Amino acid sequence: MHGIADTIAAISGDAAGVRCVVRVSGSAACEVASRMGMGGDIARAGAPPGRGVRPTTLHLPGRGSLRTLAVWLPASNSATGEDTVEFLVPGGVASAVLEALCGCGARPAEAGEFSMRAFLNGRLSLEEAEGVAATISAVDDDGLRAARRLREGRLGRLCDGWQRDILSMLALVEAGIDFTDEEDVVPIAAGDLRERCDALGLQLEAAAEGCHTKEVVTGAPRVVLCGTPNAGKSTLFNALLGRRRAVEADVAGTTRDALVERWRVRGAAGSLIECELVDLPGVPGDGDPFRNPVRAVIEREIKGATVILACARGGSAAAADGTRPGRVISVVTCADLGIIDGEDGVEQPAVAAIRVSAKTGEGLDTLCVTVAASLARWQGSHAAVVSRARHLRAIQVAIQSVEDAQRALSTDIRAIHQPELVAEGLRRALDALGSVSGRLTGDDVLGEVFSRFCVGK
Amino acid sequence: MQRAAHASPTVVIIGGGHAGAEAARAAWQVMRGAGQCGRVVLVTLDPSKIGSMSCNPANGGLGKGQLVREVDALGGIMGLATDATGIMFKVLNTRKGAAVRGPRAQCDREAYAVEVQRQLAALDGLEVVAGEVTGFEVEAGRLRGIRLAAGAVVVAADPRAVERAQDPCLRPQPVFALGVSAVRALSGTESSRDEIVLACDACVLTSGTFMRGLMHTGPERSHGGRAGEGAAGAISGALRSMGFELGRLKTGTPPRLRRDSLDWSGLELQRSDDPPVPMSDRSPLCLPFAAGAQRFPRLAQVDCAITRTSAESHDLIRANLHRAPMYCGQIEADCGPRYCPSIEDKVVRFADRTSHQVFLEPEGLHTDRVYCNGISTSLPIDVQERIVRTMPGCERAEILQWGYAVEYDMVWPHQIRATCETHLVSRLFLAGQINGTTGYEEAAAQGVLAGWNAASAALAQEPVTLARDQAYIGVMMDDLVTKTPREPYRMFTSRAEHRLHLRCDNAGVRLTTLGRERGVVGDEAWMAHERGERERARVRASLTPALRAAVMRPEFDVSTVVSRDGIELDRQAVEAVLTALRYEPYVLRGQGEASLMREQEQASIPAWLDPATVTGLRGEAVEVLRKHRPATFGQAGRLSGVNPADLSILRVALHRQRASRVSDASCVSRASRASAPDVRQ
Repeated sequence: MHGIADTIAAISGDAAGVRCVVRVSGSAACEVASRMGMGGDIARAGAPPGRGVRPTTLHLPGRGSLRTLAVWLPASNSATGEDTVEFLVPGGVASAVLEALCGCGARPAEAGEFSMRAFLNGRLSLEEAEGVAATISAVDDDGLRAARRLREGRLGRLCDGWQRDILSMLALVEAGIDFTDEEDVVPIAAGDLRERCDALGLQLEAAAEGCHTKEVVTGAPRVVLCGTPNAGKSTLFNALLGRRRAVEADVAGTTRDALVERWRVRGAAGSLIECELVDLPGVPGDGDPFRNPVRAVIEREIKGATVILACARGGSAAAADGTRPGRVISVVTCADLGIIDGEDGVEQPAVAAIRVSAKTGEGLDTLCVTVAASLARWQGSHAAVVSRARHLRAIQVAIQSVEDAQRALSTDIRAIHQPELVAEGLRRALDALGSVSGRLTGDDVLGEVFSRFCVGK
Repeated sequence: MQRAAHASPTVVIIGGGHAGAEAARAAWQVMRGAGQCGRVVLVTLDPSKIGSMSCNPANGGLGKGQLVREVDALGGIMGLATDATGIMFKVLNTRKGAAVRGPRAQCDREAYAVEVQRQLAALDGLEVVAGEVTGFEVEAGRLRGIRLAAGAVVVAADPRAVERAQDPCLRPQPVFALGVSAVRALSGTESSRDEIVLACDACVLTSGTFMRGLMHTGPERSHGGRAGEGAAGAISGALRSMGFELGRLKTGTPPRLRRDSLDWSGLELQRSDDPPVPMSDRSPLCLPFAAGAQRFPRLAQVDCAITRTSAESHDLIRANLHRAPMYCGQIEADCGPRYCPSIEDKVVRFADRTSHQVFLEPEGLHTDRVYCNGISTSLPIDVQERIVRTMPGCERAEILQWGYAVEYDMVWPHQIRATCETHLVSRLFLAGQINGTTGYEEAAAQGVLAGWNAASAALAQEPVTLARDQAYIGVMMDDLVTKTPREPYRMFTSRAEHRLHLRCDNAGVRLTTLGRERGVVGDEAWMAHERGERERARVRASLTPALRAAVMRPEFDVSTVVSRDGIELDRQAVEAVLTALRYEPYVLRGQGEASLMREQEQASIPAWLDPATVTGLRGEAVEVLRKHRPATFGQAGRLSGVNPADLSILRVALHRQRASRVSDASCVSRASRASAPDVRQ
């Protein structure tokens, strides 16, 4: 649960677009912005009570500085009813600015949190707030999905590993506190614990570095082509990309692995949305020797998909998981071949599918616009970008907390004299990483203790 | 026609264990403080058993010691009774930081119960009733009274027993004993041929292990909540018919051995701390000492010994597992506690171990019973005897009482609030093992809170809750109402995320002022607290900046401050001040974080808000919120299955529904007048 007294930050507008706004809201907004390089005088008494606009040079750790405009909105004159600072920045660096703000004391906003504050401060009517609530519940699903994808990614796996490591250390320290009168409990030696903390600290620092310098997690949404073998997915893939990236052949099972390419999809108003287009193999039959690995690939990609294009060749049913309307778009490929009704006894899908032909170009624009609309909705949540900023923040807090634990250990040669301070550091580190790979509670720690030691008389 | 209201606000406490005794004391104190002639009635099956220690005759320990200190800071009985009857005092974790030290004391079992009875007898006007509760009177979701089996009588304290209890040299006798003490009829009741109805404004139910209690020793079963006593059969049914969802838990106790039949010579001994540290701040002020012997500890201190099980004992257990009630399906409850396993559990779960430690703890000064701590068991008696005799020093042990498992009914705690009041029936409070906890200290802590809230309700005062960053009691209540227990709940220091702040040394600072304001802290406890505050202020005034810096080093020696430049300072006050200084940076950080969350944490979710009517709330969240009925957004956020977005949606819905209720405001106020305190007789 997050406090509503925190100062929060988020990207507003299209992070993949040319310009967007990064907004900070909360009582410490001015302080956070000053730490980033905004002149403090903008918000001082004497400055216009309305809005102040100021050219500002922002310092981005590891990326140099960025000249931009800062807009100061005092609580009396802002959308959230709290002190607000907005930075106008190029879309490409928005996530870096957000991360830097979070390093300066802001926290990445939860879905709908700005609106929630506006509502609580009387800036939104109840009707508007209810609309926001509905959006929150929809957006939250996307957020959860993005979070799951991140968890399954490299950083997520690392976080899981760190959490397990901390949990086992913490269990040993806690056992040495709560069960000292038990003969079974041999508290961990100070030296061993120190070594494990040092190793963990180094790993965390390396990860934090990596977060700054390269894209650890791909934030782009994924559009996945799936369907029966020989549905014409690869042909559509090439047509959408505008180049022959995948091998096309009129033979079932031509594609064996997932192909991923960057794709800028053009929406209704000519806007471009950056995403990744994924070409999948068709679902293989039972006799196929590669059946299991190929199915695993398909399953993984569908799970991580933002939008699924369920392809079927002229008239056969699309293998869509219709669980989330809006996420799955039915596509009939090879429209130029004409409709083959009732073939194989398969009925037409109830929802009108988009008919496309790679050969004639028919329907491709319509498909792009539909995909773009779906993606825009997903982007509204900025789930991946926020998650990335959150990762970095989590890792930084974890690093500090592990350092606290190391400090508490530093005076101990043989026995641990201040286990409660060591535990405090480890627990905070565990909590911080929990915001990435799922929270572990005191019960989990106790569970670990009980599974290791025979405690109780 | 004007009808008389019942004479005075009445609170009934059912059960005289550690929860019941504390609830009675707390309720009595609140009533008295309000200046009204309020009435507190404690109903129990056998008043001579009030304050009994059913299992291990010891209080305190890690996490539990902090609870005892909090009970004491709120004016409770437990710390004082422990100090009065302790025969071995030991502070655990003395080589670690003060935040995780836990005072523990073994008591003289008989003397402890009598001391609790003596303290209750000193509460002028408290009525102790011997009787069996058969049901509850409920009207429109509110408790109006309890039903008792005919024959219930008020038992007076026996003045001779009270006097005897003052003398530490004499073997104590029960203060409330049917057949010895004077009895009178219970007033203010309506009775029929076989039932008595006692009207009340609030009731605290503390049934312990007595609701459908069933004891197992091998294949032998007997009804009862404790060896040699009966069970409360009717209450379970009454609760079920009121709509409560009951569960069944199991716990156990080891055999008791005869002291003289053991060979103590070869065993490692454990001694009391020297000097022992009292648990209660009031002990120096108000313990009854022998004439001319104003010293602590009051009773002679005894040694305990350590023995152990062997491969032979474990083979015996394995060979007889099919005869253990927990393993042959004779016990209904699914699982016993993981942290307090029976010896058969230990042998099964940790199969590679060939030995477990067993503590031999004398149960008192005037008894030859020895508690055999470490082999809680429900195996048949022939196996128990053979196991005991495999342990060094116990080769010729005589067993005075067999170990047994006891299973009992409880009420799943999602049905109570953090005040101990039930959602289903207002003015009915539950405390102790009935809420799925285990341990005297956990029970006592809930008892204080429940008794306090019951009396507050009877006097139409605001309810009291304690926060997670305020007290272990707050941690426990929050855990109970937000988690679904898989085993009896026991306190550990690791359950408290604000552990560095929730210490033994500052229990009074954290709680006594609040307790005094809300009437639960009596004069003696308040005086002791004020004295402590003065001492601590003296210590703080004498601290130099150099000393303040030196304190932060872990190797710092407290005694250099206690006696310095000819000034003598109170050692306890010095330790408290230095401990506070050492933890200050951590505590401040925790409090800073807590204050950011406080608005969200404390924002209340009114009972009238039905999550099912909130659009956009996920199905899982609706289900969990309806089950636990959290009182605040803080509690809701800790429920498994509720995420931050759910809270935002709930918040918007709450504003919407609040707005629409404002227009019905007049109806609401009429309705609340209609349900105002009743007018009867």
